Amino acid sequence: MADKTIPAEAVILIDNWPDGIIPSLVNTEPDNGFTGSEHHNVVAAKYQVGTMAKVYNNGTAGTSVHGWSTLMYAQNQTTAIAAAYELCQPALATDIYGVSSTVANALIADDICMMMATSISAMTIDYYGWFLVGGVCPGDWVTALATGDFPTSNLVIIGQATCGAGAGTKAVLEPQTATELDSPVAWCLTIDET
Amino acid sequence: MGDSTIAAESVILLNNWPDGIIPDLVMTAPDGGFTGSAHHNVAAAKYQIGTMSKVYSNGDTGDSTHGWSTLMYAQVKDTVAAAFELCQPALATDVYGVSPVHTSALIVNGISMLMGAAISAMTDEYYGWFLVGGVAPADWIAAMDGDYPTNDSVIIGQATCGEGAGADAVLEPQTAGELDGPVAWCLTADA
Repeated sequence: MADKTIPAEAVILIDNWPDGIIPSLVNTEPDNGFTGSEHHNVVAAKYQVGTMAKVYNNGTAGTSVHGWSTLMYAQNQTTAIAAAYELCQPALATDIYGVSSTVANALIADDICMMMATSISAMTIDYYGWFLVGGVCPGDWVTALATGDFPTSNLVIIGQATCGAGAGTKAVLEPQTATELDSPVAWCLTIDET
Repeated sequence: MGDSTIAAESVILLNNWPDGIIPDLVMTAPDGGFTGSAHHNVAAAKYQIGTMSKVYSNGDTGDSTHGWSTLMYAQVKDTVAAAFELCQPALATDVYGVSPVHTSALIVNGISMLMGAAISAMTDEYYGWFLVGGVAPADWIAAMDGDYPTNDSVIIGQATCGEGAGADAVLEPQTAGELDGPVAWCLTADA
């Protein structure tokens, strides 16, 4: 079945990652924004991996909506990220903060994952940067997230969604089903595009 | 089935407890550290039960790994022998009264989703800190470089709190048909 999409403004990500707070990153972005070249998509980490920022989005930019967002600093493993909205899962047995958008690189198979991080830009293999892990798409803070779509399995309905394998090589949102064990990573306000 | 273990650095605890923040306890341990005798394993609570602290570990100690951890202040309702014993709510009147003994749990295996891991031995009815979320913070608590108990079936992915061969609670893989939410996410299978 071909993959489809769901508008970003119709998706609320559920943050299942270990929670941490840097007070200086609450409603304050890092230097030059989350995609600033000093700290995002860089070969050497400028923050400790797992560092989180929490920002409120007024829904001013693009089609974004208001609400809180959580972004997390992590390392992109194994496969380059082509653009924002790629869904990344843990890829290493030794470090939960090494993530990949390619399903085949995921540490675990479809149906068990409950940790997901969404790219906010293209990223180079093994580079460090920010990923969206919770809440609404913060278009006011990250231009690439102002208007866009999450990839889906073409089956997403209103309610809980998990992270799974679609028709392609990249992870997608799919509806939670009774036979799957993985906990939800998102809550969807609409069905995906037909 | 005999119990087994999983290395602490391969486990990320999922915090399902009511989340709260005391700014003074973010990236700062209480006086004397989390096992300080002024507040940990004490007869009279020195913090409000449910108080949480969030600290980041660099993974410098032993086999520990980097990441955030959440610790919570609670009261133990049975004797705890050592760190890494898994405690569940034991009282109908207070969710923060927890026990490592499976038969003391308020609810039966298959429904629990609230769990705190002991960070030291504790005396029955005493108050202290429990690890409830994130990585085992060995940089902050030396005893947290160790292993969690399992039911010898844990696989990569979600784990729940359940009953092993012994009297104490263990991590077990989430299985179809069980109603309890996961309390941990495992990066490897158990030993």
